[in-house]
Amino acid sequence: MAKTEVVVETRKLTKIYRDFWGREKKVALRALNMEVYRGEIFGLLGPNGSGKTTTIKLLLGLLFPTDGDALVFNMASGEVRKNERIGYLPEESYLYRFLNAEETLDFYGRLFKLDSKVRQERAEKLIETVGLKNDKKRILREYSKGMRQRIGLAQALINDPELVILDEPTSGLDPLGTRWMKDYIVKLRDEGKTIIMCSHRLEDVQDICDRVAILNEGELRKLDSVKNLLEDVLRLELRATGVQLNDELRRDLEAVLEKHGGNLEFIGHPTTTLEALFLRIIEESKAHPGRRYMPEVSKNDPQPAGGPVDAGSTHIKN
Amino acid sequence: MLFAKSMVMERALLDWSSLPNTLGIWLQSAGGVAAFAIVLVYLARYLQPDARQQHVIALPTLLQGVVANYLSYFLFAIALAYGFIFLGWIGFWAGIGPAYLLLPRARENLPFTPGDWILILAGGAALTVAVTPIAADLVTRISWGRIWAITRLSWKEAVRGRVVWVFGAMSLVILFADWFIPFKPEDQVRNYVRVVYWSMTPLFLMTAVLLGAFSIPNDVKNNSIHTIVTKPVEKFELVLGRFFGYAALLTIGLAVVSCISLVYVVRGVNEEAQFESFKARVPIYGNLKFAGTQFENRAENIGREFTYRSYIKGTTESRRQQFRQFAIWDFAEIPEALRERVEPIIFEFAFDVYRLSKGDEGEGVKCTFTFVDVNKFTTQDVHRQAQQLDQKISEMRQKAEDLRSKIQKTLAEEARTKPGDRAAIEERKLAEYEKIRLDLIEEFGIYQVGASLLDYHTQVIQVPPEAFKILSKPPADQGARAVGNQPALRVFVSLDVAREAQMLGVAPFDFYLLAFEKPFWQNFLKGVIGMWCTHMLVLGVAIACSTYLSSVISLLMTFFLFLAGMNTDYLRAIAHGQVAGGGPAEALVRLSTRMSIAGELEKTPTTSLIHFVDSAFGWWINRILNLIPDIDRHDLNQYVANGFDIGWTQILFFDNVVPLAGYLIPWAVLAYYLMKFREIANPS
Ligand SMILES: Nc1ncnc2c1ncn2[C@@H]1O[C@H](COP(=O)(O)OP(=O)(O)O)[C@@H](O)[C@H]1O
Ligand SMILES: [Mg+2]
Repeated sequence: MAKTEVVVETRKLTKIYRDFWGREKKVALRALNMEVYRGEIFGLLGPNGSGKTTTIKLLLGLLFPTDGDALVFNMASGEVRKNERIGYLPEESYLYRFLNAEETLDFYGRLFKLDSKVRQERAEKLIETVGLKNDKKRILREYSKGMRQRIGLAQALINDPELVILDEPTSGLDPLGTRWMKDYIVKLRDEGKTIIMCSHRLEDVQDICDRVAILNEGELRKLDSVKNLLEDVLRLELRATGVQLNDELRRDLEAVLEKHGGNLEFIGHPTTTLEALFLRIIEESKAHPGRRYMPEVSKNDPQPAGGPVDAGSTHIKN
Repeated sequence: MLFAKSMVMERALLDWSSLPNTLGIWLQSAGGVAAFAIVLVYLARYLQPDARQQHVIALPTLLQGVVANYLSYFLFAIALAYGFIFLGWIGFWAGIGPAYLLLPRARENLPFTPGDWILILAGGAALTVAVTPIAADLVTRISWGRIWAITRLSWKEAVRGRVVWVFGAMSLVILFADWFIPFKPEDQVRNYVRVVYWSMTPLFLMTAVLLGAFSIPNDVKNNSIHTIVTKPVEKFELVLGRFFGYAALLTIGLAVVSCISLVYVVRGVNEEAQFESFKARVPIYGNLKFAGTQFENRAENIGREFTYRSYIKGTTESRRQQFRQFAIWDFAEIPEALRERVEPIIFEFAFDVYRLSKGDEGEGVKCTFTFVDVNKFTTQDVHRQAQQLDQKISEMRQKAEDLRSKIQKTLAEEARTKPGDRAAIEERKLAEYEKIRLDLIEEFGIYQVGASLLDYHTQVIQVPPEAFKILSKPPADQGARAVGNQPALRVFVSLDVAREAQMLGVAPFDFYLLAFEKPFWQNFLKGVIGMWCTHMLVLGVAIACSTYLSSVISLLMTFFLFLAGMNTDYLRAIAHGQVAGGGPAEALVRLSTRMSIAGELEKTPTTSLIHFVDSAFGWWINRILNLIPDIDRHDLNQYVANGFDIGWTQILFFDNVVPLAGYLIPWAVLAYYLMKFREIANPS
């Protein structure tokens, strides 16, 4: 991927929220300098209130910068024309809930002046890809948070944008929804779109972002590729199968490492994250629909990690 | 005017000739507001703490290059113009002679002064500066396709939000109103129309103001505005789309509700009401003046009905010699079609009768209508003509007598020589008499009809078509009338000599030539158009306010303007210093010196300063008053209730649609800028 073309650029971008009388309320962003290249997933990472949404709103021209510049496609952020090439998924409730999915996409399509045939085609395809085909005639008021986020993503893509800006795309989603969203974002990147997403969840960013900017209190703390940020060249990771951990193995390994000037910090069995476990369970239940988990009567039975699932699933065989 | 018994028309009828004056006033007011707003923008710009935003809100920089440059020159010119006016004021106060030329005219019915023209030009320039960026946007960026999308959205939102059910509330009125409307037979239509109009008005106004005030604030609150303005949408398109969507909803709702109401009003109309108001009279009005009274333009004020009607006195038997008072209507032009009519020509009137003592119950007051052809008088002076009337009429009677007896004699002679042909002779006699009558009308130019007046009832007198044709005939020498500015037909109205003192209350529109009649239903729906103007006005103001203010504040603001708009007459009276005791400065002086309201202030330099301050104040208040909508003008229920046709151009166009546009355009400009400079910043 040639990451040379700059899609978004900020120069000393600063935002101070003021009240009606011009008194300072909050410095939300201070002298942000960053560049986003074509075809990458750029993550804005930071705790709540660190200025991620503010940055995005400045890029979109929803807010006017107090100082500095935000350039998108080399246009000032106040320029309405740039929006032709941008798709935006806002953070929270932003849809007209009295419309159904089809009407929603039709409405936003009209705002791009797409002609009716294109509008219809795109809407149908997007509804299909975000998995709302069976619910497309229901009004959004009846949608769950996950479904709303899907239709929200669809509306952001109705103009087939070059740049997709996503504000907390995974917030409020269950792990499955989160996974789907992340996969979709990666798919969008692979289609050649540039993506800016912000999140306060580290694992989101870690999984899919190419580069991240870490914000805190409105200031940029770090900006680099995820690989560089996480990779620790002076540490080593090793995985092996077919062996049980015992003192002898430990001693042997220590000896080998010492010979190369290293130190054994930790050795043990891998554990899984709850997210990974949850995902695996759901995957399995998809593969074997109808199986249910029944708790064992005996409590003393020693169980390996993830055991209850396997044990439970044996009750109904297919 | 709650349940006034007859038509009270206080508004002048407008036509194309009123347009330049209206436009001038509009340019002064709207342009003044624009200039004031430009000053505010510049002020805000320099008070702006963020250097970065200073140039964002400079008006001319909204446009680049040559145009921006021109606009800067305009700004300079505007400042210069207002400076001149200010100097004029100072100079006038300091007693420099020609400085008064730079002052705006004192009253709105005077011609424009040079000062007015400067104000008009400056206002026009300020508006140009304000409107040019919008015009540029309209041409280059604003897309009607996107506005249409938002219009559809607003429509769907309102329909799916069950807003239309509100209109259903009207059915309650229609179902139950009968229980509450008492009426005399002749007032049936009148009262039904009023009930229907007065229930529709609040219903639709509430809907309009709620829809308008909550739309954009709700978009902001729900963050849905984020998904709109991050599309290639100009923010003003959102404003326009909202307006058009709700306007369409209100319009269609109004159309449906008024058609249903129309059916309700027209079923089972009784005969008396049919005559009173179940029609749309197309009247030809005359100009009212008086003879025998102290002033030509008004008669006595007896403290009844405020200033609308004034009263002429009738002579009593005991004071026969006293000069009579006349109310005189001049009809400037009579359409040719009316003169060719073969049916009698109908005049209608509804006067107020005032008796100093209680007359015979049930017996009307007698009065006489004298139709004259002014060209048959030796004098053009109305008063002289009035004085000559009695004289001429007795001459005319005398001559008629003479001629008739002559005819009688010759016919009697014939009857003797040729007996047996009695019927034919009788016929000839009648024909001769008729000819004499018409000849005399032709010769003297006079035709009289008497009537017995009932209080406030619409009554009719008829003029035979032949007589009418003769009287309204244009003079042989066409130029003659134009020179003297003589009317085509003049009607003298006076009370007959009576035992008791009586008075007759007349107003300009109380007496008219009934040119023809149109169907009631048309008029009813035309009246609805006036109502519609109010709805659009309220909707527009509410939406414009809500581009900057919160929903509740916009709602209150709109209500406030609306209420003020219903009382513009009173506010205007204050502004014009028609309140006793003068303007605020004078009142202050009187208060502090404990001087009574009636006394004249001494003529000192201080007094002239006081008057100067007051007149300047009045002028400013007047500008500010022009910011308040005149709601009354859109209330046309009187016309419908009393059965008068609402003229398309005179009333609907010039007195409703044009003012509506004139009022909404500045609000739209304001909304454009408020929206443009608005940040979408609600914290999430
Ligand atoms: N409209 C606003 N007015 C005042 N302060 C605001 C506004 N919007 C956001 N803030 C403040 O600015 C800071 C950054 O907010 P935001 O950009 O929304 O953070 P994040 O998206 O990273 O959670 C927060 O402290 C927030 O309270
Ligand atoms: Mg945020």
